[in-house]
Amino acid sequence: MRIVVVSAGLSVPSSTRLLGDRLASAAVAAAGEDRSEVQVIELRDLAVEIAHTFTNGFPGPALSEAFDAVGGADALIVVTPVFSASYSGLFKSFFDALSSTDAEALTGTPVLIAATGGSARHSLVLDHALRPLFSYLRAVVVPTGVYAASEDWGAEGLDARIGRAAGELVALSAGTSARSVPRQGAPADAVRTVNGSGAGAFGRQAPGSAPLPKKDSFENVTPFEERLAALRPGG
Amino acid sequence: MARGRRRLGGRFRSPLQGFTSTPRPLDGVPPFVWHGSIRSPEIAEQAAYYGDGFFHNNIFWPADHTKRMVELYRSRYAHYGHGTPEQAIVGLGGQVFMRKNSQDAVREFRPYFDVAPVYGHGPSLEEFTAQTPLTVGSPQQVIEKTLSFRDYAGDYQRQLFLMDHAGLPLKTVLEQLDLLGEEVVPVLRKEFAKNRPADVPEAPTHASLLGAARKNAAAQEGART
Repeated sequence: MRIVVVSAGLSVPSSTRLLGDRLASAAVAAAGEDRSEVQVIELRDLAVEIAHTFTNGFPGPALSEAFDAVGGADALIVVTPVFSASYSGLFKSFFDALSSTDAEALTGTPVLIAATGGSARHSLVLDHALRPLFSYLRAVVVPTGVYAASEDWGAEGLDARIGRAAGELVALSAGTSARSVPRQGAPADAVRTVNGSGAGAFGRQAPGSAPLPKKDSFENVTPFEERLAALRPGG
Repeated sequence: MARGRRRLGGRFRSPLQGFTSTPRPLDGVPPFVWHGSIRSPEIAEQAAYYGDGFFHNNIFWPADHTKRMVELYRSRYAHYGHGTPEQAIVGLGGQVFMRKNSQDAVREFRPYFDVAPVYGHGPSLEEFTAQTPLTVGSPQQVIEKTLSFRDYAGDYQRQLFLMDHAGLPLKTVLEQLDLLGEEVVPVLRKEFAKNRPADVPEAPTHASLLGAARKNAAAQEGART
């Protein structure tokens, strides 16, 4: 199982990164050490390329690699510090840049949401900010989110929440048989035929189902003769 | 309908009355049509459907996008029975700034690059030249980079260069055109011709289209008598 951690922590060392590492370890323990690999992406290192993506329209080489890792993950752990009562701007920008590059990058991917903050007052940031963001991106958000305020570290309760959330993440990842379901075109809301190349790659829409517009899709380009036919009277 | 004067109904837009579309057919032969696109695969599909040429912008973005667009066009060109994928008619863009000495090119272009609306305030000149088809350097570097387009687009028919960019003064642009015409284009023509498979066609010109039309007409005449 490929577990990818996205950490938006800024300081070194960072409690956000620490929470990401703790969640990843718990997920590895739940999935089995020999069957999992973990990759951690520090958004701090990608900050400039993330900004350039908005002005340029394409991600730089390091950010492209990070997008590939996130897009290919079987399970995703995302951790942000709370800034101004929400996720940090860098955290949001990463996922904005990702979804503008590939709108379906997270479709069907189990995501564990986590956040750190200086006090417990902002713990609902998980359910008011992160959960809707990842629902919008069509990810499968794990029921248990993990919020760690300063006073939670070393206190009773955090370990149990980490363990429960990681267990749910691994179970969901197994249950969705690794997100390949939507990617390979089964559910109606994510029709996407993955195929090698050439003419065979052109999936036809089932009659009556509206074609889904997908930016830059090379797999599902509507054959031009179908567009012409749609313009004919009675067509 | 009066010759050349048209009225276009308005199902998707306001009707056009009494306008003349250009260019007009010459010697009874319509001009060769190119479909140009940056990011819409639908345009590559449309060009392939008609068996027309496909021109990809190529500049400002990483080459892997151009590669996928051209591959789509070529495979669909074959799908519609116009020929093999290699016989499809492809054009690419490119953008360069050059001086005899590559360091001079970089030094002279950077102040324009850094504040140009489409280049500036983002990645550095070095990053941009590494990640996109922009070449800033000597004519030899321009030649090498341009020849490398063939690695991802296959043997292609037309190369269009953007020379007047980033707010360069007219005098500089004219110098650039001289360098392009004298030192780059003749070498490119020669190098692109090397190892080009015999079945990769030239881009149609008016002369070749007219020749084909006359041959066609003569064949039909022959069949009738």
